[in-house]
Amino acid sequence: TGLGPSSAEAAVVSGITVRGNTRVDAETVRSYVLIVPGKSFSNADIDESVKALYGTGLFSDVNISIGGSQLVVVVVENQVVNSVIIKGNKKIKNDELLRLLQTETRGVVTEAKLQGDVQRMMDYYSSQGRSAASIDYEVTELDGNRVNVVFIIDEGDRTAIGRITFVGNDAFSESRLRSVINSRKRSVFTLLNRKDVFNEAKLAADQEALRRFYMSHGYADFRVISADWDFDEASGRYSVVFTLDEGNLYRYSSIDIDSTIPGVDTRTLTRHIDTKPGRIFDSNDVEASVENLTIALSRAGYTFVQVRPRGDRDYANNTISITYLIDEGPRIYVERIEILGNTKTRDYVIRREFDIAEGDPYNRVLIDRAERQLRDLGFFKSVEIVTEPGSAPDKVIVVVRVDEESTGEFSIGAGVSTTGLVAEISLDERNFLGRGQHLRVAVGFGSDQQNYTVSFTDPYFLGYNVSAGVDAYKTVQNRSSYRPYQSDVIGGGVRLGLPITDDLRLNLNYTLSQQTITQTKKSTAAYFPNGVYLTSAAGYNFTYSTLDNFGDPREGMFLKVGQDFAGLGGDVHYMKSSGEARYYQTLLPNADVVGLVRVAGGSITGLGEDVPVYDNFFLGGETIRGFANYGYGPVDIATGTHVGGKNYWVANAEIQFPFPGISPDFGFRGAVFADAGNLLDVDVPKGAGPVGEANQIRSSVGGSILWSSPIGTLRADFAYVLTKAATDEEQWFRFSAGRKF
Amino acid sequence: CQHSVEGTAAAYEDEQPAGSLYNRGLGYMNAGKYGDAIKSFNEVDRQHPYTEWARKSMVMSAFASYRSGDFDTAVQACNRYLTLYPGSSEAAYAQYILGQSYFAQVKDVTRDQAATRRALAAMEEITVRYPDSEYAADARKKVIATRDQLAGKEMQVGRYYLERREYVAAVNRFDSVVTEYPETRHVEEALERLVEANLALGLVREAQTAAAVLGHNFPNSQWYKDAYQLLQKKGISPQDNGGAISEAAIVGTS
Amino acid sequence: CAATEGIGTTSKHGYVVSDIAIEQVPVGSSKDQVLIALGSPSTTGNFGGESYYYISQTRKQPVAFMPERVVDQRVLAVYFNDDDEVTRIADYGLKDGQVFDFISRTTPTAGKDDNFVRQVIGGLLGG
Repeated sequence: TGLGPSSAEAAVVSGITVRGNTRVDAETVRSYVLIVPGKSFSNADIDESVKALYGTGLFSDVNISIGGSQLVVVVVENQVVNSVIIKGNKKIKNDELLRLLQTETRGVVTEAKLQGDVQRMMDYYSSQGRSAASIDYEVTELDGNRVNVVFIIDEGDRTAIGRITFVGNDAFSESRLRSVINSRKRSVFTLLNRKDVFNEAKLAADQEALRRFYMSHGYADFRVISADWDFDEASGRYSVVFTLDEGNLYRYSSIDIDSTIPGVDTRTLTRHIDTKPGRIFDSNDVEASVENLTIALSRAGYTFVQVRPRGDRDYANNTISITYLIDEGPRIYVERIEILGNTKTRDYVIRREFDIAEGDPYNRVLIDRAERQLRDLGFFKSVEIVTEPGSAPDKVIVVVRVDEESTGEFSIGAGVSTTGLVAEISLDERNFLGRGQHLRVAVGFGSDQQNYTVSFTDPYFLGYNVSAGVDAYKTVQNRSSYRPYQSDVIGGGVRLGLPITDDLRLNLNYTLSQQTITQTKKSTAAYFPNGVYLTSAAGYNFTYSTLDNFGDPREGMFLKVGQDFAGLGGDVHYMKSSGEARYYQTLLPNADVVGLVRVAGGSITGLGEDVPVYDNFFLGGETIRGFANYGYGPVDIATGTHVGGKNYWVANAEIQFPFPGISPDFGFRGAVFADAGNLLDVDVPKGAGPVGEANQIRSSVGGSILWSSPIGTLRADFAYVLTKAATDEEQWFRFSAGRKF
Repeated sequence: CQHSVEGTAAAYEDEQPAGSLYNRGLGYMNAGKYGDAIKSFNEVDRQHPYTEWARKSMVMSAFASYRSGDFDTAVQACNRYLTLYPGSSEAAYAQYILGQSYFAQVKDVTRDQAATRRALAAMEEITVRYPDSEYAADARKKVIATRDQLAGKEMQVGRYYLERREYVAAVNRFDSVVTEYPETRHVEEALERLVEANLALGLVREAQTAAAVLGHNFPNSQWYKDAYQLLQKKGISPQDNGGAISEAAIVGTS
Repeated sequence: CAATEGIGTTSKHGYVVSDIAIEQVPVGSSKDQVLIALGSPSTTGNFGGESYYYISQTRKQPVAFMPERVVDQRVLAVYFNDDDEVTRIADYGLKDGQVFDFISRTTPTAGKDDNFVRQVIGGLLGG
């Protein structure tokens, strides 16, 4: 695309002639040329015009020259696509591939676009585990400068992973390391998900997963020397060998804080540090300590602070000393917080997760915390927070880009247990009207009960950090072997959740419910009379939780203590106190063995009258394994029916471990446990027969199999009862499984 | 007869005269069958690219997509048209459909205003490039509406911070409405909020000036009455400190 | 000072004032000197002669669910004359600020607000 004869710097033309255009009309070409007849122009203008014409993507070649008084623009047009056809693809269907292509009918075809399309299809194939696929294209000419484009695909076969082995792993077993990285060996279960597929990106992710695992278990010098893979033609599978250099296990020797900011009293800051001398090195603790220190310092007014950890290794006795360096960071302020991408979630639902406001000092740690809190909301596929320069050198604009996902879930769940089959249909909207409120409607039915619930929760009631909720429910419990009456309960309630600190929370609630008892067996009618009972109760409870993760805890404690008072009107007057404490401790960190101790208890006392038997605690196998449903506690001597009790205590101890002999990636875990407890004291209603109460602690020991299979979590408990009362009913095997799918 | 959509080789042999395909498209349009109309117009474009008919059918296909609510396709078709025929007679119409497609997706002020910004840019393009086209009048109305919406967004965030007594954030947000969107309805409330925020900060002089500017430009606005009462309660009278902005900024445009 | 007494938390917001910097901008110094010494202001005078306001707040939250209360507020005001020279520096504290309820009325705005049915159905069908 040359330039005309070397004319003077400033030239003038009287007109622009356009040549070579068959389809694009001359007027369009002229509109992109910056040169105006009669006005002077320079070479730069010509270059700009050429660039503009190319920019339209309509032309494969552009040439501007000066012929006498005319500016001559010669163009060669790109061809137009008449049709796009894809051949040879079996595993991936046409419309999935067509979506990736830029070359489309009625659009323009260029070499660059075709190469781009091939590359995008290749990447898509390798992400589906077929990196051996090859793709070619043919362009056939038609009349009127039109072409047909055909992509020919040879998919190759699935590149799966055969064997994964490790060299140099002394500290951790091969199966433990395999469970850390997620590209596991191909097996019947991995058929159901894509984890066993091989590609380079996943290999890099695996190495990072290994590094983080070792660095959080004391191996500060850990390195992956190499990750070699080779392709076995016969089985069509890759085998991967990770060669590791674990280095030594480090413990903290000394921990100190070194601040260059005057007036920072380092002594008061030590309590924010999780890395304690003598303990095993853990990179997560170091990161947590940096965050805690930064927040504490910013709360104390040292806002422009940067905390950086420095580790000094003592190779002789494998210790590492950590020094937290505190020094003055740049004095930058947040000018604006721009929230983008929220087409459904309201602006304030996102903005309120930020501890800092516009005009406050810029603090990276607080922004990371907001990003984490936004992700925990579960409303977004992705949350990206970046900073852009503001209107002054010491001002930045924080840009929050969210990509929403549909938070409306319609799910069907099923569960089977020794008491029968239970199924549940639920409609869940976690981000109702984009206000961050949670609406849930669920219908459950099983062999011995049906329940219907509607619940609505607002996590920021009236703008305060208070969660408020309202529930309505109807539960029908049919007559069964262990329950000699049918109970219909219709109820509703309101609840408030008040966070005191990050871990401690106070919950207040009020419920109003009416229980209708019918079809009671004549023999137990005295204990369980037919009738209608209205209960109006208010209650509170404190929960304190430091569990590392709620679903599958390995560390931490959970404590719940509370009381309910029934008698604000209604027919029933009692005070019910209950408490539960659970403590989890990883016993052998590298073998993933976890110990759990649980203690729970409850007591009901009538307020000026007897406690109706319906409101007693009815306990069985779910608290002390080895007993049937409602299986232990006081009984009506005449009929042997269990009538529950006013007071109970229960204690359980359990050790969970990977199931020996089966690699963890099958999801099997074993457990041994010991349970003990007692249920006693009944207010015998007038006219009812005597109560049989053995002054006897119930206890049992046993083992369990836990299986988190792709179709759900299953648990089977085998228990041997050590001590029981004669009237108790044993049930040595309990089984439950369930999954929302 | 109806042609199957691209993808099968057979369809390409029996080409149809552009005119009749185009008219069939119009027929479907009038019958409200936008899906069929779009197919016919696209056929014209595919079989007879870059003819007069193809150009007309491209913009009609965009209009059909817009009417059927498929705004993304409409926007795509408009952009392709404007790249090919920026100077043609229907360019203004294509630009207008583009603006309308974005305008239809404008969300309320508690959501991201990306669609509003794009609608504003598209409509402003009409007022600048095709000032005397038949769409210019409505475009100017849409410019006012979208700018008002963007000002509304600033106000919503400003009020969020004001409620939380984050005065710096609030003042700057209301300031941006006064300086960037002086011609919108929100400027009255922005000035009143500036009176409130500055009073809460103890900057009485600023509060007085804001009230004076409000009174000067919008003497009988309810917001001015509120501001006046607020100052009255605190024993302060709104008096103008000869602020430059008070004279030029708002009086000129209201 | 201890950052957290008991379970309440205290936090600082807005401009971080340093008295040494203030001494560097006596009356008569130029606007650029002020920008260098104190940095960009939190807000500038909206109307009338240019003035810079450096605003900082201390907030206290006795318990996590209670709203934060402003316990200390300081506005460092720097006034300039027409030649952009500092004429006066003033300090306004929390006591100077008036406390009152803000007006709840808002100027109406447009825009589609998906109603419940369309939003949930939209959500379910991945719309």
